[in-house]
Amino acid sequence: MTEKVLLVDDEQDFLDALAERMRARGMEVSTTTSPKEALEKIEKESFDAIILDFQMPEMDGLAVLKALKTNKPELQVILLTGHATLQKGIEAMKLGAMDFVEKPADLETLTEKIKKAQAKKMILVEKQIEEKMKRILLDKGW
Amino acid sequence: MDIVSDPTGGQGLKFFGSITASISHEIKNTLAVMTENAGLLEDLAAMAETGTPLDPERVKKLAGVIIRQLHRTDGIVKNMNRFSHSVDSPVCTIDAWEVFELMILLARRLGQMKGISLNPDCGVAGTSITTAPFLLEQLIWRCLEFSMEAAGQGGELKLTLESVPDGVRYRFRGLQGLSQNADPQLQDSGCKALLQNLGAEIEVLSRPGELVLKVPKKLDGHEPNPAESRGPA
Repeated sequence: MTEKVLLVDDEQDFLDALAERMRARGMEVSTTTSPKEALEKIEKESFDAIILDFQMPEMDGLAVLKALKTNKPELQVILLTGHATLQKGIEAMKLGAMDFVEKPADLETLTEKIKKAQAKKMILVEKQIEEKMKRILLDKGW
Repeated sequence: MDIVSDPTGGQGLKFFGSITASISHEIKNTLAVMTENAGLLEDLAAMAETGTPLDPERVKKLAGVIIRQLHRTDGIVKNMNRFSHSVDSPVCTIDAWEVFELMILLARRLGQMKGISLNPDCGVAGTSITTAPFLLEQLIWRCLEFSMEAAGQGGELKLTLESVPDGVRYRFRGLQGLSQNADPQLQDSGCKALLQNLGAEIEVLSRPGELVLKVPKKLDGHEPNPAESRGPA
């Protein structure tokens, strides 16, 4: 199943190259250099994974992560960081990041993590549907 | 005055660490761009091996991106080198503008993160002062941080240097969010120690929204020594 990914990073040259490489590997990729635009995109489209740069102008990476998870808790966010310390990783996980990767990222590693993100999201969405069905059955008394 | 240890009680080391961490993050970003574009060239070459035509213009464009990032990285490393050498001598004669320019370049990334543009205007070139370079860099950094906070998101800082008979004046203009009272940020023990050791003074003017850092031409007890002068790295 085609993975749908949103890349968020302030370096356009990085986004263009990574997006093209991911598309060549069969993924559907959207990109943006603006965290605010990313928050708008997730309202309009569904993504299997968001690859999010940790440090960007306009909005701090952790603040973006918080906002993304508040609006869409099922979203799987993979953080890209210049320095992956254990402390930062723990902080990011506590806020709901699925994983974090140190730049420059190996594409094969990133692809594996995106596949995992898609699987995790599918499980969460199925659970949500199941819960919805249960509620309907209860309401209708069937 | 004999400046051999850190008069700011360890803040100097913290400052050195935070600057080098910021530099390493910038280098990581350029490495990431180069890695992806080199990877894309590899992908295109692999596709060419299986018969997909290779567009020379595409290859040129990707090579151009990598070269641009190489130059960018080289610039970052040059600044890191200049900064690293600022601890070579506790006191020496330096160019007052060059030290300011270096700190502005190092602060650019921080400014971008805060949505603030830093606009230097040399004004006066070739003015020498005999001072403690590393301590002066710390003090200028503190003034830059303070000014960026006062300028606020979307703000623009105008940074100039003036030469006066008894020393130099570093001016930080565009501090729109200054309150009437002097900000406690610049009144902590670390900042006071820097000012005292450099014989410097800070004046914060809420109108017209400006900070002035006054630095003397030479430190008490230290005569300018051409042999101690530090030229551009």
